[in-house]
Amino acid sequence: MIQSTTHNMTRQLLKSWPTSGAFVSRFVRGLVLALGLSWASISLAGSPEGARDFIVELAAQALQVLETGNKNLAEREAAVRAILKDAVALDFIARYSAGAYWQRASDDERGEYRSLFKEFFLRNYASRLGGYQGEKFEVVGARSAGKRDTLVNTRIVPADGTALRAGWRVREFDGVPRVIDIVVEGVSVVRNQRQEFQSLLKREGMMGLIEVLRARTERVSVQAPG
Amino acid sequence: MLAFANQTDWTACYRRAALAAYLSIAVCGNAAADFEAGYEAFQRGNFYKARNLWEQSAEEGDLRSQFNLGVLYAEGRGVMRDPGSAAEWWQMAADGGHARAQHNLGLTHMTGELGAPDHRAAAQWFEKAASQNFPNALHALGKLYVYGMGVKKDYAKAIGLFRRAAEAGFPNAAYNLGKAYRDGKGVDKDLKQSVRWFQMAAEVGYGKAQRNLAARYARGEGVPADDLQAFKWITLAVQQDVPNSRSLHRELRKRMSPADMAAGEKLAAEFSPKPR
Repeated sequence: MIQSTTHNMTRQLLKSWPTSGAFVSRFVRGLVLALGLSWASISLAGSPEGARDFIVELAAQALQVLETGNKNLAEREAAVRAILKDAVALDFIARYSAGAYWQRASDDERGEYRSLFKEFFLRNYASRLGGYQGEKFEVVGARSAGKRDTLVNTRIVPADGTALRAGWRVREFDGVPRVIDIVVEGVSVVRNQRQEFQSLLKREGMMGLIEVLRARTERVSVQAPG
Repeated sequence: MLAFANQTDWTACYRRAALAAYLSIAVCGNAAADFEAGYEAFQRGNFYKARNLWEQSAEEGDLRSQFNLGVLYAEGRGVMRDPGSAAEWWQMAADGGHARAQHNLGLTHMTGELGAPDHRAAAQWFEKAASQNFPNALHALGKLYVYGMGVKKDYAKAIGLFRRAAEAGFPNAAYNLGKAYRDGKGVDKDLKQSVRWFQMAAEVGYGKAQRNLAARYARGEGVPADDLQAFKWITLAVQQDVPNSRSLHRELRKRMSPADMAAGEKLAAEFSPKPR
């Protein structure tokens, strides 16, 4: 049974992703919806039902921020960023993306990489979410995935386009549910990112990846009039 | 006849010049209007509309629009993320002398996003933006001099660039200047100066500077020892998850009274970053 939340999502948000490829653009449609959750209120997150509630609540909180018309873009994005920071297992994704290089890295390198990865990730996603203009978000269902995770299946339906399937992989960390991956049309976004990082790590090592992440966070954004 | 012909030529010439001037003003006026309308659309979150408007003004030669289009492509706002298109728009604006575009193009070369990293090209673009006193580029170029990437390693030059960027209010540069004075790299070691620059960066919310400032207060280096201040700054650094901040936080917790810690946390809660 389709559990529908009557939320609309922006089309712009649905058009991009920091790695590459058409499929990833679709991921953002989903990610937009997965921002923020009152984690403490979800007591059943370890179960498929709990994880589904987690994602529904996440979408609701994100949309509450995005639909606020009296904030400017920077303020909306800052609010979304704060939500994302809690909703996504950033440490886990950072370590997973670095793979074996994480084990070989020094403490200083790990600290620097974790910090930059978070900035890189939050900047990449929060920067798109302020463009909310509306699509429908539907939770289709949820099922166990492996021993520890739940995959919550959703559809994002633009007003005048084809619906996209996005699966949200949720895992509990110390009893707190967090998103650890998004599977868009069957393709794992985090795995895709790991491949990109691994290729860079092989060429440049951990310090090379750190420098690339640092440089990406030092980019200047849009210029205002005046 | 000749005189008449010349007069006709001149009249036509004046007319053409007047028309060109009018069109130039009209075009500039339109470009400026499109740029501003694009920015309004961007602020509303309508990235598609912003892109369309900026494309018009960019094609009319508006450097800011060219730069902003590059950002849309780099950040994937309203378009599929496309580093190649981003670099093309930045190149266009950078060739026209736009400092922000020169800076971002330098970073693109530095990261090798479009191929192999090219630190020399990066340094050249940072240099152009730095010559316009663009603080981010002053800092980026300074770092290339620190590491000898694309330029010959030169700490003194790096310090000069960091100082210019820091004085323009760029916190990363103030932080690096604080480190240079702390370690005596490129300058004579001077802990008071170190604290001064860490403080400047910390006050605008730069996490690593807050951690270093906390350490200076905790150890009384360059500033009288003050655990309350140390706890305030390290609390703020921990909130930002700054690397290595938790160990100092633990260290302070061991030696401070609950009342003092509460007072330090209160100071942290009251902290509001200064605008840059």
